[in-house]
Parts: sequence; C-alpha cells; structure tokens
Amino acid sequence: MRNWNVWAGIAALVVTAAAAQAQIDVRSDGSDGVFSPTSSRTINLNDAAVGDWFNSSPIPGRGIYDPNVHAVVFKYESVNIPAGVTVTFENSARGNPPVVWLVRTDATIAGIVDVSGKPWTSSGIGRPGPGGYAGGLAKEGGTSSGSAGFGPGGGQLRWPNNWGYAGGSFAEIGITADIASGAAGELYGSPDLLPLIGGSGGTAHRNGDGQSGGGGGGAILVAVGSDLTVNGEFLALGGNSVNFRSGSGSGGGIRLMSNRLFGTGKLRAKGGTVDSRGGLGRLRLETLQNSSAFSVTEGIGSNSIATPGPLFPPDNTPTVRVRSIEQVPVPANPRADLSLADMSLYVVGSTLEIEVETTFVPSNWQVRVRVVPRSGIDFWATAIRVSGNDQAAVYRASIGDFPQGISAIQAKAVSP
Amino acid sequence: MRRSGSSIAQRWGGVVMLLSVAGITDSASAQLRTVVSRAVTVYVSTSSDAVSPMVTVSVVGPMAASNVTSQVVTVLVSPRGPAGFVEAVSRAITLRHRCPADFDDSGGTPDTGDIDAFFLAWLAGDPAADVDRSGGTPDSEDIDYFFSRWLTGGC
Repeated sequence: MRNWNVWAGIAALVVTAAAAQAQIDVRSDGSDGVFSPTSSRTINLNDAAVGDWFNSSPIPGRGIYDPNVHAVVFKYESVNIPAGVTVTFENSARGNPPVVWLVRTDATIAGIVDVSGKPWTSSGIGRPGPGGYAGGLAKEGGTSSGSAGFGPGGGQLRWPNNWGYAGGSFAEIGITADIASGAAGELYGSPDLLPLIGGSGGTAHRNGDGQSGGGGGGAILVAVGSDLTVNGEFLALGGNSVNFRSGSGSGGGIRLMSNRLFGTGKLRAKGGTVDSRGGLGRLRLETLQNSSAFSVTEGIGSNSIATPGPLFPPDNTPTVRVRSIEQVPVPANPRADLSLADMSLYVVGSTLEIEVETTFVPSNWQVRVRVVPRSGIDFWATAIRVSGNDQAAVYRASIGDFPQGISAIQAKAVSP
Repeated sequence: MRRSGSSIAQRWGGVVMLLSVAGITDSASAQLRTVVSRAVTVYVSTSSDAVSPMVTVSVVGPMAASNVTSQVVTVLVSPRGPAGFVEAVSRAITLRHRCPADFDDSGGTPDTGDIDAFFLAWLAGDPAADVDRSGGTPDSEDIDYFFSRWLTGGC
C-alpha cells in the first residue's frame, strides 16, 4: 500500500497547489541534506544503505537502496548544481538500479547531471548508466564471439554473418546496418517512465576482439516539492559503439517532476550516434506550473507536460519476475552480474525450464523470456501460463539446447 | 477519495480498464482528461458470478477532491493492465550453465584436470559435486553421471 499512499498524497495536494503556491509532496524528509557540490563529483550508488526508501537515510548524502522499488533514493532538502559542475554516478552492484532524487524544497541545475551509458571499451564492456543495460560483451580470446546487447531492447545478434550490426532500442528502435547479421532490439517501457528504467545496450562486434557494444543510457527521476530550475543539462545518452559493425546503446530515461518548472536547459536521452546507432530514450515532464522552455528534442515523450503522478508504480501495476530455473529459486534480489552469475546449474537433460511469476498480468498478454548468452546468439522464448489467474500466475518456458556458460535472462509481459 | 460504482454486463476476468468522464464543465473536463492518464485508476474486481460481475471504480485526483457531486463514469474495455500499463519487464538475472564434464571450467574437451577437480569437490561434500542436481550430499550417482558425461566428451 506504500505506493498507493504516495499517489494519493500527491493527487490530493495537486488541487491545493493549483489554487495556491503550495508544494507537492514528494515524500522527502531532507535526510540526505543539502546537495550543493562546488566541483564535479561521482556519487557512488554502492554507498547507499539498504532499506525502505520511505525511511530517513541513515547516512546523510548516501541515499537508500530499496529492493522493492529497485531504485537508489536520495531525499534531499534542496539541490544546487552550479554551472561547470557535473554530477555522475558509479553504478550499484545490486542489479544496477536507477536513481531517484526527492527534493523537499527547490532544485537548481545549472551544471550537468549525467546518467549516460558508456561507449565501447577495449576491456570488453560498454557499461550502462544507472538503471540501464550493458552493451554486448566483446569477443575475447577464450570466447567464440561477442554477445548481443543486454536489456529488453538490447541489440540482437543474427547468424550467419560475422558482425553484430544492431543498436539498442528503448522509446525508438535502434538502427541495424545489416539485417542479416543483427536486429535492433524491441521497444519497451512506458511513456511516463513508470517503472523507471533505462536504455538497452547495442550488440558487440561479433568477431572483433575487445570491441563491445555501447551501454544503454541510465534513468533518473528528480521530484521537487517546489521549484525546479534547469538551465544546465540532464544527460541519459546511449554509449557509442566502436563502428558500424557493432551497436550503440539506446538513450535512457529522464523524468522531472515539480510544483513549478523553470529554465531553458537541455534534456538529452539520445542513443549512441555511431552506427549502428541506438534508439532515442524517454523524457517525461510533470509539473503544475510550467514556465520552462527546455530543449527536449533528444528523446521521446516530452511533447506535453503532465500533472505530477505517482513516484513509483502503484501496487496494482503488472509485474513479472523470473522466479526459478529448473525449480531452483532465483535470488530475490539478483545482481545480474555478468562475471559472477546469480545462479549456477549443471546441464542435465535436453531442456531447461524457466518459471516466471506475474501479478496483474491479464491472460491475453504474452509472456516471454529473453536469453542473452555471454557468447553467441540471443533469443526469445515464449512462456505459457501453467497456474494462477490474472492477479497472480506462473508461466513456464522450456528451452532446448540452452547455451552453456553465463547468460543474462529477463522476462517481459506485453499486452496484445 | 470519492468512490463511485458501476457494472458491466460482461465478464472481463479482472482486467483493469481505462476511464473516461463526462457530464461536467468543460474546464473540469479538460482537467480531468489530463488527469485520467495520470491519476485515475479503475479497479475492476470480478466476482465469481459470470453474469453480473461487479465493477468497482476508484477515482483519485482533482475530481475526487473537488466538489463535483454528479458524474457519469464510462468504463472502456481495454487490453491494458492496471493504470493503463501495457507491459511489464522483470529484473535481469544471470545464470551460469555449466557442463558437468568440464568441471574445472577450463573449456575445451574434458580432461584429467576435470576428474581431479570433481573428486576433490565430491570428497569434500561440496554441493558443486551434485552434478546430477538430485540435491543433498553428493553421492555415487553423481560419480556415475559425471563419468557418463566425461566419457562422451562433454555435454
């Protein structure tokens, strides 16, 4: 019921605020203090305590990682990022959650807040921004090929050509320079960025040692109780690929919410620009009084200004979760680390069964599982409902010849 | 929060629907249309009665807090989930799918190094030696299974 309470709290205050210059309640107690850096800095999201985001931050300035909403939440009293100052983030190892800033009073962004994905690297990985997904892992000496891009919109590898021409997708389909060797990832996510999620990675260069795909842009929600002024930039760019024979990451997500909105700054959630380029990310503006004139061309979804909505998805939001593989339970809070897997299973038999649990997923929706091996072709498998109902159900996918080695697995439920 | 009720003459299996509102002033209507996509959720809870399921509408937002006392609520059927969602994405996990014959994960054709590694684990009671995934302490069947794979050159 926690999320519902937040929604109702905001909605009730909307009316009051419309009549007077009141704040919207963004559920910030200011326990992370005033954030006013005077020089560029990187916020390490691994420093966040683990707990209920609704509680006060136990260590001011470090935020709280809440597994239930899968976000690192900071509750600032106010924020002031001056011109010339850039704020970046070190991704959390707890499954790379996105960033949420809840600001009790005002926020002024004259500098840069950057949750962008990283470009390809010779060390083999294009890291995502917080809340985004990595670019395809590069082929290394011991592997037969690179990988597809990670995430629900990750660029897909195709056989038999030797390249991986496919950008990541998010709000826009990425580019595929050669459809015989790659396919751009699928669209996903909601226009209102509920839940908050970042962009997906592009494919690795299939046969090029050390040439990863670009990482997907991250995601950030900044909810401000009073005035949000942006004359600087929010960046959630996708990372670039090495060249057209691999894929750039898609843009990520930027969601800004405030009582009043000012400024002429830029919101940029463009995909990586090196072909095969990544798709555009998502932008979302919510305010009661808009006096802004932002540059918002590098992303999709900012054509209209919405009234403030819930901070997090309400309790009746459709959810999907990989719950077991071969009847072995999946950790409740997977790290999704590509070097140290969440689970380890031996190959027994010819098929591998993956069970997915859903809530509030209607029976006519399609539930699918995406498998991205560390090396080789990625694929989707359809899961069939085996028990339950629309409120809570279990789906199962049986996959033959499941690849050996490390794979990333992610489920998705989609309306027809 | 104001609640109003309605019903539909068809069973929708608990699907949650979108809402439109009419019968109010233009300005309020415009405001509500904005809100509909953001702050109005319609919960549909069907009873086991297939003929006349009850639809419960919960309205949250400016309309709920205003003084509007008369509303016409139309429930539109949609394949969408609650609050208009059309999709859900899970968190990602990573799985290491291991070949039991390549017990030391050295890659390539299984060799004596794999045998050594397997027996070290088996003698130590390491769950990793439960290569047949039968559960519990590794037993003789794990040895049989390991060699059945090792002798055939892999997985």
